[in-house]
Amino acid sequence: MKGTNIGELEELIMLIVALLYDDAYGYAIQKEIKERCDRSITISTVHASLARLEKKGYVNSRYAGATSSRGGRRKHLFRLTQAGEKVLIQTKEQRDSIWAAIPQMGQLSGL
Amino acid sequence: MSDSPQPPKWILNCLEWFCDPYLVEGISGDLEEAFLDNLQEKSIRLSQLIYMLQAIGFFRLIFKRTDKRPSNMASIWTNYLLTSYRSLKKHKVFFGINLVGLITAISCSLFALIFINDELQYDQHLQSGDQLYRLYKRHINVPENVDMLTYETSGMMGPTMLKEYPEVESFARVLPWWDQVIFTHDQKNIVSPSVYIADSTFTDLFDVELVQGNPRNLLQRPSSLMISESLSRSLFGNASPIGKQVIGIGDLEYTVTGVFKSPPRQASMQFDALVSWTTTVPNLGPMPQNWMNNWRAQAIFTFVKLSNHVDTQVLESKFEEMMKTHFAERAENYFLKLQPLQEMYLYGDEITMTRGMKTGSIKFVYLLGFSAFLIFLIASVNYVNIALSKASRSNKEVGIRKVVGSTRKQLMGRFIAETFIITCMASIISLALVYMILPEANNLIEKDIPLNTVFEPVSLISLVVFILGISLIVGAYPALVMSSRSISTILKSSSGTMNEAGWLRKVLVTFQYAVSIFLIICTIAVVRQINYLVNKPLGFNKSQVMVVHLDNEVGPKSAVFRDNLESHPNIASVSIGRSAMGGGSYTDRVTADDYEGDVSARMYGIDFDFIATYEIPLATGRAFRPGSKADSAGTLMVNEAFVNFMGWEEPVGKRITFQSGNSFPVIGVLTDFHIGSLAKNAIEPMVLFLNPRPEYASIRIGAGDMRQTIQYITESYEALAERTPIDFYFVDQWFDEQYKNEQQILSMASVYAVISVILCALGLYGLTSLILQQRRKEISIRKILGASIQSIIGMMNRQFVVIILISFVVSVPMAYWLINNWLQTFVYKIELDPAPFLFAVGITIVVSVAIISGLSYKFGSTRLTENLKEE
Repeated sequence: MKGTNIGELEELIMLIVALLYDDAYGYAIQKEIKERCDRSITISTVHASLARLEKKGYVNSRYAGATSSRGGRRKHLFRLTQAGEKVLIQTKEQRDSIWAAIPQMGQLSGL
Repeated sequence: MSDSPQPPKWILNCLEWFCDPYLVEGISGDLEEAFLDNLQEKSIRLSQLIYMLQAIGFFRLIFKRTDKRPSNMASIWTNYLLTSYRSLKKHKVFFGINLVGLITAISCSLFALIFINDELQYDQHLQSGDQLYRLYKRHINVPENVDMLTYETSGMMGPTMLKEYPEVESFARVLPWWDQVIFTHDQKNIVSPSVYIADSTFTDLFDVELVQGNPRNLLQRPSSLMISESLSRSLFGNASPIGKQVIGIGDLEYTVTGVFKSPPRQASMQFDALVSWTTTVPNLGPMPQNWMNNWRAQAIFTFVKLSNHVDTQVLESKFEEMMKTHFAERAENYFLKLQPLQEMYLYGDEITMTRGMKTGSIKFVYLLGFSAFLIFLIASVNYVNIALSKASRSNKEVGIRKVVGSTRKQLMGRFIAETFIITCMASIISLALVYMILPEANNLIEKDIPLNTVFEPVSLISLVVFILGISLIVGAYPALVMSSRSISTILKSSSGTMNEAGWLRKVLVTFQYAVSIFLIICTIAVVRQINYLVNKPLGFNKSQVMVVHLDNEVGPKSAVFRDNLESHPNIASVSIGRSAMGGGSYTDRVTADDYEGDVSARMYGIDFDFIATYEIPLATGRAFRPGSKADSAGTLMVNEAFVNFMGWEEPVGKRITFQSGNSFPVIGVLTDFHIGSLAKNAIEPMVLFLNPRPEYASIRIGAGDMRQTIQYITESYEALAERTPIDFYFVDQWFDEQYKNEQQILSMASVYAVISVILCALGLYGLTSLILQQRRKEISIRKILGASIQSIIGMMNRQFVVIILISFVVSVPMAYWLINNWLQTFVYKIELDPAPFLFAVGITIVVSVAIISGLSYKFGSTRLTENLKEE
């Protein structure tokens, strides 16, 4: 199991990549994180995580078609791979099982 | 598009150069989009700044371009480093010489840099430092031939300036107390060497950092006392001292009003305690000192704070008016001037009376920097010379590289790489060396530069600059020469000739020798001048006299003290009075018979035994005599300088009148004697009067056991003192201490002279062995044809002796000029004679001839066949 663990930021970015689906590129991901989590991370950090995830094989990337905005530069788009989806689901299941094992927390929040 | 705001282009170029080309488009596009978004809400500049900061974030390894396209640059450089390493290993002797030279040069420069950097930071910590000025004055007195600058001012100048000139925002008067002060609280006595009496404004002007106490009520009231944290700890332990009573100056009670952090190390003013100025104001404080608060007496220091952008020259000219209105009698003598406080530490050389303040000297800074620079040049010359001479050996390597297709730039790279390796090594060793030597050097020049300064950014950055600079500058010339030859020339000449660089080599060696000879001459001259100052007869017997301070609780019991001392067999004589050698005199203006106007005379208050104790010869008349009715009514003695100034034929019986109106007859004349540094003080007209007020005891000790006698004196003192420890000095040591600055210059000059000679010798050694190598065939053939070893040695020596003589001729005028200038600063000085010059050139020739002859002899005695067979 050791090799498949991912960091918290990586998990977050993978989720956002999944969320944005067809328009997941660095800047968009950064903006989304800012909006949803009120968390400021630099563009370079997003790119670095994406590059790392791509190396691990959890995302793959391609360039979109030509565009006239962004100074004529194409978007570098990312999408989850199957391995990426699997590791996300695995992570969620792990969390859920641990959550379920905490009785007090459940009672406190009225579940 | 072109006129719409653009993100900074250069950083984008950097990104494109740095990042993986596959990633760059996505990255730059994202940055651009973010930039355009930012433009909606933020200013162009801010957006550009954000763009830049964001772009900088991309310089991470993960984005770095991994070149698939093979480049041979890396392997070329690896090869350069490897061949450089091999070449260094092959020529161990030259490598050693170069390494030692560079280490010396870099250490000297680094040390000079650390020192200079430290000196430049003095007094730079004050918040309103650029508004603070120190008052000093030019004192001109034509008939007495006085024209000097002094920090001494009078207590009325500051307050009057504040009242009359709106430019003056504030002032603070300071009087560093004359000697150490003993503070007593609850049976505890703590000696404090540096106490300032200061105005209440002092704490604001000089950013005194308060630890305890009410900032609005520190030095206002009489008898207020502020103490440093460490003093507070020694006196009160951990208890709060505020409001407590302490006995201090004048055995009076003071109330502690504040505790402050000791001034930073790099401050001119170092004090452990501050006493309020009001303490000394007549009719207000318990210790009235009229002289501190009138116009006439000149003994205190004044600092002023001006408003921003005041033209100090204009203000200085206004001071002349002020003097005319308030102190007309001295308006023609005293010209007040303002010195920026931040310059007080380094640029106060010319101004006398720096009592109680730390001082530096810009001249010393220049001297050190200049000497370090000279050493640096010598070492660089060694390097260039050896590299050039060695060049022929790398001919084949250079030729092959060229054939294989190296460009000239790459070839230069090869040689710069060699220099780079050796400079890196030298720098690292130098850093360690400076770190180890710094404590010694601190001692030598009396500084307290902390060890960790060695690793401060300033020195590390300059090391990097040294490494790169030397590699490029010193490495570039040989590289240039070697890479410039055409392939055929290089490969054709089996063992290259040195002629092409011969003239340059000679010029460089001449220069080296000139510097060494120059430094040797200067060192000898300084040694001779200092010996002269230390050994010149002072007009009295300075050895074996101990002076004890009695201006304390022992004073009233001085008669007992004297009796105890005189009973000791090894104490020849004891004099107790107001003055002693090294302290207790003052100047006053007097008038005299047969002389128009008044004269400033050095006043010496002595007792009956003073003249005998110091063994001062009498010129005419008689000395003070116990029991003489005339003497108890009031009589005076003078020195010969006084008599000469007055132009008296028959001095005995002439009357001298003091400012109080009292006049007394002269009964005797003493031969002239020195009372201070021979460097600075000419003998002044002097008046001696009877004043046995017990401030100093001068004790002449006999030839017996010195230690035991000092022990006895200390015990006799301690039997009478309850809280004051004994404070004494020896007169001869006191005089020697007056030449501290000169001694410092001497130690510096000698260190640099020795280093320069060693470096020159090393360089000569390397150069000679290279020349011998290159001329081995020629020399062998000469020997076959019948030349003797002696003639070969002579041949090798000839050109160097010529070089030394030329460099001697070059260095003499410079050295003469500099030494003469330096000697002009002394009142008493040696005459410059040819001896130092001849000695310098002599020793250089001897050392050089010894090295050259030794090497030539060794070479000449090896077997000829081996030299000729080679290749």
